[in-house]
Amino acid sequence: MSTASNNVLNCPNCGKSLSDLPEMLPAVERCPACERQTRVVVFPAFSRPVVKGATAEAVMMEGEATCFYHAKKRAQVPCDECGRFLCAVCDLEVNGRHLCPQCLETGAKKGKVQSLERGRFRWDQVISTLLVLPLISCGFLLPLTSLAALVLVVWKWKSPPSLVHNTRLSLIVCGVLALIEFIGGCAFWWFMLFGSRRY
Amino acid sequence: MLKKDPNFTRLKKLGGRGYLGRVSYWLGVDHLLVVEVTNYNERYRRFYFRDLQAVIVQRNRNRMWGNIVAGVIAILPALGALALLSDGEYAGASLVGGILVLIGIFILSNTLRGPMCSVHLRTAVQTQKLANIDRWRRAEFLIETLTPLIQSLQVSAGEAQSPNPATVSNPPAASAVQPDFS
Repeated sequence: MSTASNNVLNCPNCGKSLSDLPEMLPAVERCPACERQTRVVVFPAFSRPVVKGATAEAVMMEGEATCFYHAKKRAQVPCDECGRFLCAVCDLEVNGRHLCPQCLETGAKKGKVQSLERGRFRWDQVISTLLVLPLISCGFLLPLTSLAALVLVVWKWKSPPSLVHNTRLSLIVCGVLALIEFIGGCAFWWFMLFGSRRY
Repeated sequence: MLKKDPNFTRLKKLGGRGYLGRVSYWLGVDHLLVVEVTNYNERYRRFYFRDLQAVIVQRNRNRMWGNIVAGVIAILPALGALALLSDGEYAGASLVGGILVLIGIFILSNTLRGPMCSVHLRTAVQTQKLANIDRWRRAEFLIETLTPLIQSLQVSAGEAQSPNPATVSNPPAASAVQPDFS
């Protein structure tokens, strides 16, 4: 365990240190360099030493369980996902679960570990654009764009929904609108191609 | 959806629509979740209470510059309105007057909403600016909401871990000094 600590807080504007004494940080009212009015709230983690990661222990006796990834290191815990034995270096604790690097990577890619998820693509917004944009720019493309929107609604129905918006409801509304636009667009073209000959 | 998740509470006073998209702040059990929606992407940033070292709020001059720009923009319609009034074009003058009223409302609301600022969260590895918390009042609300949660979690975690007391200096209590705006 390392006892190194990083007790310097720099001004986000000018990059200079806000105070030479960490104890005086809560009393800072202005940046000493750029003189911007500043309020600093410091938490206990600020003065805590930086803890270095654990190091794996070497195998001492023959027949001892070893890490799946490091044959010379002693196994400490099994992976909660795949069951492989892991040393202290390979043991990655996420939300109270012990995972191996491979399971963590797979979980992050598939979105199984929500705390590792960094973003999602909003397909419902794409479909909305497909439905609205042709209406104001190129109406004659309506059958094509609405068909594309309909296909996307079905195709992306099971994709991970937004965390803050009701994606399913948006997709339903978009699907209904796409159907109306498709019928309307087809009727328009039908009239333009065949209907006009009668009159 | 986070709305239906009992583990998350939306901080309705924070966030909103910004220059590049919409931002919302959600309070989880052990972290603050910032959701940024830009065009077709939703981006998540998680700030775990155990990792947060400091909150830095810094006042800037954006309010003043906003008012100056709006004032400069208002000069042209004001001159136009005066010219129209002198010609007896009351209909045109009232139309331009409407634009002036809108600019006036912007300046008034910008002034009444209080000083502008930027908020940064500091962890052991980064200092991250929070989007759409641009007013001092909002920043204070964030601090008031986060401080007790972070304090209780870090103090209890510190007691549980109990690192070598000889190497750790006395952690300062989360405290803040209210700057004087007068």
